[in-house]
Amino acid sequence: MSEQIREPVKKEKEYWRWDEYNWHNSDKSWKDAKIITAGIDVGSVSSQAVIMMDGELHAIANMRTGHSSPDSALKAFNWAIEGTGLRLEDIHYCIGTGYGRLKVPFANRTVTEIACHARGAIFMYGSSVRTVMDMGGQDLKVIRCDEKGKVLNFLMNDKCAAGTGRGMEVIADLLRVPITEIGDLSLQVEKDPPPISNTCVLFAKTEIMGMLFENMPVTDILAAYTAAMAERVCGQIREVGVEEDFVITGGIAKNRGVVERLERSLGIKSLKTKVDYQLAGAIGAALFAKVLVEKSKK
Amino acid sequence: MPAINIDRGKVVFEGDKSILQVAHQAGIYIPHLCHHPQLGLVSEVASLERIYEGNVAYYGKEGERAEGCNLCVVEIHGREGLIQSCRVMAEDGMNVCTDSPEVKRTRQSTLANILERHPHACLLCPEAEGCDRKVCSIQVDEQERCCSKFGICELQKLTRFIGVNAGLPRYIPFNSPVIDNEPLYSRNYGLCIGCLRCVNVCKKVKGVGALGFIINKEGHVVVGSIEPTLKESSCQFCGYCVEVCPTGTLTDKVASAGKRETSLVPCKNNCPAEIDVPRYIRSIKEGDFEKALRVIWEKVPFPEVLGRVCFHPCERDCRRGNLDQPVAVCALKRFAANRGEACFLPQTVKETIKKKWKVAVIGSGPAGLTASYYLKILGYSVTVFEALPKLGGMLWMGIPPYRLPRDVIDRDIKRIINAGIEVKTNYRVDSIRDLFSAGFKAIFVAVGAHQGSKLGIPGEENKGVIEGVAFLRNLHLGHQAPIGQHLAIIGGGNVAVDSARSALRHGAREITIFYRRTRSEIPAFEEEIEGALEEGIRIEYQVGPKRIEKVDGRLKVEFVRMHMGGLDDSKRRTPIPIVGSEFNLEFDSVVTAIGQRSVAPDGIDITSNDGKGVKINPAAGVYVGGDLLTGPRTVIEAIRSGRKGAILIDNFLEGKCVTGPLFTEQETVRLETNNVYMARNRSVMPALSVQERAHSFVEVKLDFDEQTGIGEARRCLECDLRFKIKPPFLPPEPYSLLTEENIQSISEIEGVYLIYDEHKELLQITGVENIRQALMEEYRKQGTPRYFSYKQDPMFTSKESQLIQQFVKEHGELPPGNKEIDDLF
Repeated sequence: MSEQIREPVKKEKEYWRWDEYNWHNSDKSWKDAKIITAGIDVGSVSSQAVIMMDGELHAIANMRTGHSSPDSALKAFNWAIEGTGLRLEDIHYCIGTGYGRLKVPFANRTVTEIACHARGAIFMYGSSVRTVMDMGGQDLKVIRCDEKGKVLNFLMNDKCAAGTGRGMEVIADLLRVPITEIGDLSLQVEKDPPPISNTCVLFAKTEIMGMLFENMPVTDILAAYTAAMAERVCGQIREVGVEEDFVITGGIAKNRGVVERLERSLGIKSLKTKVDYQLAGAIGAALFAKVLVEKSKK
Repeated sequence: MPAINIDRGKVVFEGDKSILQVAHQAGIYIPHLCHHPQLGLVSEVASLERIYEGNVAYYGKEGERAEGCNLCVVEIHGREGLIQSCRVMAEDGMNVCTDSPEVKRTRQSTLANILERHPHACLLCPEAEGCDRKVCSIQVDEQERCCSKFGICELQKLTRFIGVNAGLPRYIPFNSPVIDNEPLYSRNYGLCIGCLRCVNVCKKVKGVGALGFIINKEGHVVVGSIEPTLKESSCQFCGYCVEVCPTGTLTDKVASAGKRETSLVPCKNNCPAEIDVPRYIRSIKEGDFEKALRVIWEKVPFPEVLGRVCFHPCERDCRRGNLDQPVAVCALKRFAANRGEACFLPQTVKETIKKKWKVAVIGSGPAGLTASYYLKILGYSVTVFEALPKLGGMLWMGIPPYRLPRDVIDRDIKRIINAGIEVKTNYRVDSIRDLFSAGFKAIFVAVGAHQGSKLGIPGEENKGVIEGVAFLRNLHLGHQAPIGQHLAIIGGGNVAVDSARSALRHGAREITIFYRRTRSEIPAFEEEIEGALEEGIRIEYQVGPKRIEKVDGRLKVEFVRMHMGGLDDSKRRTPIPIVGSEFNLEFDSVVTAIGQRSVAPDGIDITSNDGKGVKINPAAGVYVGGDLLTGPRTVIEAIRSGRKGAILIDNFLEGKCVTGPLFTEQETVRLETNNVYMARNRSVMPALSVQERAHSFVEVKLDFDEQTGIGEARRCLECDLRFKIKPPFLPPEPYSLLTEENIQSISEIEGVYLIYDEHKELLQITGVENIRQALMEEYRKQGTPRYFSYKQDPMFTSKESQLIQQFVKEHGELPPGNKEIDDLF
């Protein structure tokens, strides 16, 4: 009996896990660049590092934040420069942002993620962006900005995990559906079932257990959950007011189920881009770094 | 001088004052709700027999007095029990205690009674900061949550000061109506705590009495209007009640965060030249036309011209428009200018101190002359160079006399020149370098945009095809050749419409304007389009020219029809030609008016401007303004840039930051009613009939008579007056002076620190790992005395965001210190 208990528990598949990756532009050498800057966005769930050459994306890395933020920052940075030949000392200026921004030991300074997200969104989607909705790991932010990315209004909620990446991870685990597939699966229903009534992740979990017990198809449950998330976020964004163009950044932006439902209830489409939606903060930070370098040269 | 002791500190005072007033004067906060610095005692207003909350009537006994909030209780040494400090007069030698345990306990239980009838769940929630109050993790019913005023609410601040006792009962919603269908204000009586400030201010300060109250059977105060709607209650929509409300009961429908004054006084805010509109309307109302003119003159030296041709953005959002129609602000400017003229000569107002510098102004349009005028008033020697024989730029060359009579332009210009400005007409400045060698220290360039743009189609060079601006210029200088009977105008701006209407007066009989886009996109002023249509001018929409040919002395124009495509860079729909829709028409002349360009003198590079104002290469002392800088715009915008240019040049030469000359002193205003005419519609300016005007250059619109003008001014709601109401005295914020000693008393903790300037305005919010260390760094770079406060929080980055959110909500922008980096781009 006691022997059995001591046996290592068989490792479950980690459904919540999403792909970590790095990339760099191998067509160009960093040696041609006048200004090389880095932006590190240490979030509560994921961390991103971006290296920019003269304001152009050169290398990126996107990974999970570990238990220790300083490590995460350095790990992400090292992974981004992997294969580029760059070293830390080649970076002219580095800015840390995000929830763990003060834990980027090699950053020259920090900038709030609010400013970085707006700036990054303008870079990624163009200067027509006026409303940025960042659906991050543990909080939601709605930012209104001008054509230069200057913050005009801002609303956040970090009290409730519903509608955040962390909440989504919990649901992925519970339903044993890989997190990257949740969005597509949730759209495979003819008609949306009534949204889950409890927005709180803990209560929603209980409600979903009940649904599973009643043999409700997983696609329906996912539809009900993502619909509830979209509804909840919708109320928040209306509080600030949506001015087009509207974009969604952060990990949840990759979840088509949430995005499409949100667009439906708002009655507007969000702009899309090829750049990873999670990179907005880090890109904004690298852009701030570039301006600071330029300013110091003047 | 008599003095009392408050909490062991001595406070001297003068005259008859309540203990509460003496305490507040000394900066000691005593909590209160019914009291307000602008108001007398709550007992000064008596209850009515009946009041309305929307359509619901409430009845009570007439003449009862409310006992007040009872929160301002204090102890006075030698007197039994607790005493309401607002009712008891301070007497020399009194010993007052405002924070004994007994006082605190009593306040808490009084507050509990108030909160029992007001939604308050968020006031008690430890997670309220950084919560959007849309979704609640602890499932508090929406009706029990705080309203949208959360964070800037006086009741909330008071609650934080007093504290709540543990046994605070839950709020049970009762069905009070939300009245949202009235103009300008929303009233949510579910949030009303019965402090009666609104009733008091309406009756005692405004002197209207549109609001009232009853005391119901349970002894609660119920507030409402005296008739079902505000209009029926003879409300004058002054906004005082909203201004004094300590809760979210009374709110403005339009009030953007941090920009309350600009959004609630839209006329002043919308004026490109920043004229203090409500102030000059008030002077007209009081019959002081001279002062009205002075107020206008502080910002624009062209009152007569503007009174006729301004596109009056001041009227666009006029709050009176929410009740019936906007106040006729533009017409009132003309009214004031006509009447104030005789007695007011601004150049004699200020004894100018002569400055040694010479300044040159190139171009004598509204921008150039405005700059000249204010530069002269500031003490410089000013010379204006004008290439044409007449002064006035586009005013003279572009705007037709039936809209702007020439004697009007001459009068305004004469007054400007009489200030002592040297004028050189028929003098084209080809290079600004020559002016510098002639001894000018600064140059303001405002040569306008007098060059018509080309259509870029074949046949444009034919005789009989005339540029709109050139046509108007020649006409106004008296040497335009005959144009025939049958005329096409191409374009849809003001030059196009002015050309059409002028051509009609110059002998043309059949005139058609051809515009590429639709009616909703046409850029000419609506009034002008209507005038043209009335006079029989036709407008063809969605038509563009393709080529022009000379056939038997006439012009044959091939047109093509357009359909509307997607939005272009200017956010307008792009016209796209419809293949096969071409058609031909013949005309005697074709006037092209599709835009204008500038030809700047040598040495000016307009591309290097900062896009916002008037400066170019300020190191060299060259400034640019008017249409040259902005492209063809309006008269008022040109005047704005002229004034701005004068101030920048003054800064450049003398290095002083000035706001420009002032011709009036700020008066103390009366808050009581000026008898706003509520039942009166907008006055319409008398105008010539179509028959009288169509073929003459006589001015179409006529001035108000005196009675009508003053009557129109009395329609103004005086939206600016509410900002003269004294601000409420709020609980102290927990700041300390930024000194080494104060910083060293903090342990090395994580959290967020806030820095305030010497006026205790918040500068910056920053989350850090070590507050003491970060504050020491702040301390080392300090110049003026500053204040700080801090909040300990291990999750300091998210705390920082929460506090920034709170700030943005109140002020509509990031704190100045946090914004600094945002402004780098």
